[in-house]
Amino acid sequence: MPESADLINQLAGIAPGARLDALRQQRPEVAGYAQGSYDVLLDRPDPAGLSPAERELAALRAAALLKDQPLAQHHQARLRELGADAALIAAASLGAEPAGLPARAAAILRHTDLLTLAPRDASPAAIADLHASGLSAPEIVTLAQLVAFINFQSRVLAGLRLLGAER
Amino acid sequence: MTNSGFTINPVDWHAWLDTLDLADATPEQVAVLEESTPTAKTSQYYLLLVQDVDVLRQRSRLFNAVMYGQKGLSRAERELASVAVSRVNGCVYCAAVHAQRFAQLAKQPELIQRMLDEGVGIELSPRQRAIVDYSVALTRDPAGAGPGDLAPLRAAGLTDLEILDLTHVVAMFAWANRLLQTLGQPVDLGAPA
Repeated sequence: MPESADLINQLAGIAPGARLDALRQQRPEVAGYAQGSYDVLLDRPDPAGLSPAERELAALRAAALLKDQPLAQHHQARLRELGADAALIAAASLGAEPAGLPARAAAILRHTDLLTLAPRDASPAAIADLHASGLSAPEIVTLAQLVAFINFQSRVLAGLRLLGAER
Repeated sequence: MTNSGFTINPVDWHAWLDTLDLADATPEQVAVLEESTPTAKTSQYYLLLVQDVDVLRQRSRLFNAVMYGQKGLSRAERELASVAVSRVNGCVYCAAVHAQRFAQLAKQPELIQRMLDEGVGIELSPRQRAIVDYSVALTRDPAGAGPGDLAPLRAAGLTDLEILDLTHVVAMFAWANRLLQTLGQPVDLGAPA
């Protein structure tokens, strides 16, 4: 199991020892590999392929499209730590295309929108667009895993918040 | 007969991107393929995903824990939720594979065939209805889900652990559908002989 704090507990407002913490501990592998997925996708200092800023940009965009405020705020803060421009963070959070974005980052945002909102509309043309913008096949795999992971996380968070509000 | 595009036939999947040639796999990649699923070394899907080996390792372990963890929500009900999510998202490959598993586990092949053909609104037992409705709500709009989406699960008698398991399945297929739908396409292998 990873040593880092549990991000899902943090974003769902679950305190150590609380009822829902105890419930999640009945599924320790699920909690551990969910956190492990976050760690390898979004918490490595010098990852191969997509840069930390590209990863955070896609994660923020997906969280914003899913209207998960705590998750979006988490990635806004991470992007600020990486030195990202405030206007870029604001535009990405609103679902707009930030002005002056490099072609590669713009393609990442377009693909994040497609994966999150309309995965059934995906096509080889969308992959060709990513290749044309300079993404390799392994980078496209990582991007798909990352955006799909945020979609996973938002459903876990939503379910836990419902359980937390129940009584 | 409806023409939904969904099938319970055996299906294969073809990648839209270059996959790893198994001959070029590192020992670490081979190990992750072997622990992911028995057929991974001949599957375009796994030979594509293993290009980011650290992510595939975590994801495969997570998937297996979500779908096969002991106690809690029954295996058949996990498969029912998988099919409902995949039907709503339009993932023909996932819907086919998990409809086959539901049909084997629950011995209700007609029910799941109807869900493929007609959608998630078909007639179900009250417990199945509650499971499917929650799955659909969390799939379509997680931020919009409210107490009214949870209450029917309680009325149907689901425990905290069963609801957590169900939530994990719905979330896992938000992930799985998006990989299978955006990195390649399903191939219908036709009805088994």
